[in-house]
Amino acid sequence: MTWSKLLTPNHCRSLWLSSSTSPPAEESRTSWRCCWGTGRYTHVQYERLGADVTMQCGAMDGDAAVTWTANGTDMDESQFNGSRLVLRSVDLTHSGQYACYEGSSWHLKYQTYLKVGTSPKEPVLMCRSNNYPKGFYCSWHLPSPTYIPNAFNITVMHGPRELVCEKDAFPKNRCHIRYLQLFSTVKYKVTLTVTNALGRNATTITFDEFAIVKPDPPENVVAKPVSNNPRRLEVRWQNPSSWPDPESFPLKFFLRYRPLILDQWQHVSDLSIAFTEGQGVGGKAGGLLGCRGPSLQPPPCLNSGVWGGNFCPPFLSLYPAHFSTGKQGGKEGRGV
Amino acid sequence: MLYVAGEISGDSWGIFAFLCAALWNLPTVPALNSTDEVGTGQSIQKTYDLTRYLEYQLRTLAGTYLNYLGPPFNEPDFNPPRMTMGEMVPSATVDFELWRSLNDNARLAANYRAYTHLLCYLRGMDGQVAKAELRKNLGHFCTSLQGLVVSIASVMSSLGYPLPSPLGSTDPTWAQGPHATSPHNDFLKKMDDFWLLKELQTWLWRSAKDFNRLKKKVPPAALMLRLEARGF
Repeated sequence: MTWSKLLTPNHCRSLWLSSSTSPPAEESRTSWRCCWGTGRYTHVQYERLGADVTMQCGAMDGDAAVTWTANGTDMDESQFNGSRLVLRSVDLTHSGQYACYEGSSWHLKYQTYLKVGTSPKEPVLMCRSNNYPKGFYCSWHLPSPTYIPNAFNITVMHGPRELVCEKDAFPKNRCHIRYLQLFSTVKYKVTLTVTNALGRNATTITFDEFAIVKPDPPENVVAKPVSNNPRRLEVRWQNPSSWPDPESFPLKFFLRYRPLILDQWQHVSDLSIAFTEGQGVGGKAGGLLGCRGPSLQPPPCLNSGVWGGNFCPPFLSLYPAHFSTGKQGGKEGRGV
Repeated sequence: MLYVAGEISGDSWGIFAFLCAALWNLPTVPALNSTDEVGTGQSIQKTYDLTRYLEYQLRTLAGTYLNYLGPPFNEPDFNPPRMTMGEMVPSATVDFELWRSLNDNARLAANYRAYTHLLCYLRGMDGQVAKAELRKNLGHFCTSLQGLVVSIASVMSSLGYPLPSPLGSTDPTWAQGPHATSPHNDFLKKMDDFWLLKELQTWLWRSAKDFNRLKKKVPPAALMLRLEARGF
């Protein structure tokens, strides 16, 4: 069977339906579209979720007879208002390509791609230095999706001076800043603006240099039983590789462990000797079988940011009274 | 930073100047006795511990004091432009490479100078505070801070470094704040207090790292010093 460009979409479709062969593959359906249009999107239209959308069929008269298609499928005339298409209270399923054809000639008069979305809500922004004293990074996200493309712009002010935040290739919603000076008394102020076709929003955070220092969890945490003493576990770990200078800025580690049969974590209190990289610590475990192994979290006593402003006792190996049970900053050891 | 109120007479100023000067001319800290059990390493450790303790104390004190000053000083996002305070107190802010390359003497001297200035200003602040409870806490903090100054001096002395000379002489004018000439500018005075606490907080944050570096580097040298003292 051959078809020429005089065939209407309806004809194209009915030809397909009457054929005894199985439905054509997607590629040939695309080529069918060539007979009614190029299929290229030259116009994109963004509309708000829940809004009413009216589309004009190009320069056609208000009462002209037209046919609208949505993604290639004819639309029901009940949605037409003369030659205009009216979509009420649009939702995400309305997104797609809309085209308008003159009644008899099937000339393509108008084409647009409709994208339904929302304007951005206030973005969530956080900054953190896991590589002190080199610099810090800021990362952000939107609390709920907008369903349409968003553009982000970030500015970092340090007093009167604006700093350059270099965007990371991956992940895309992150950028990093190098410290130009250490031990600054001036706060950093970071503003993130998010813009899309339907609106914009922004958020700002202000912080001191020391308030955002938080190292990554320790690496290669391994717990092994001690050969002659089954009640003891030897734990080894390494400084996080992102921490550039453990010599000048040492990390302090806190160790806790919990046999599976118990609900409470136990803290190892005398870690004062075990600050060096890779050094082992003996810890008691209540029975090796089913022991989950310890979880290490290094909130450094260099800063109080991790503990929300609680002090880190200077010369006693006490732990802050509340110990965060979240996995953030912690890591499960590979125990027995 | 010091606010020259109209009521302070010349005599009071004289006494104050004397106190500040006295702080500079500390009685000689006895050098480490060769029989002294406490090594320089432990002195440094104690100084380090003291900075951490002071950092903790300051957190409570600063919170209370800023509330006493009232808004906007006690607002967490308060981020005013820096004014002339920076000229009066040596700032902790420093380029990283420069900080890392400081020799022990320079490092200790910077700390010593900073805390001596800060202590002096704090004492000036103490006299102005209306609330008794706050004054008591400030006083206690000042005493602890004095302990830190002495501790630093002791470390310097045990290593054979001379104590830095005061930046200004015993002339009280250097001890006055930038707004001494406008005695009735309450807001600017509060600004000075704000920046003083900020500078103190930053110095304590920095000092922990200074002393941490010293901890690692000094003990062998101290040992050598002791051997020299014994004539080896």
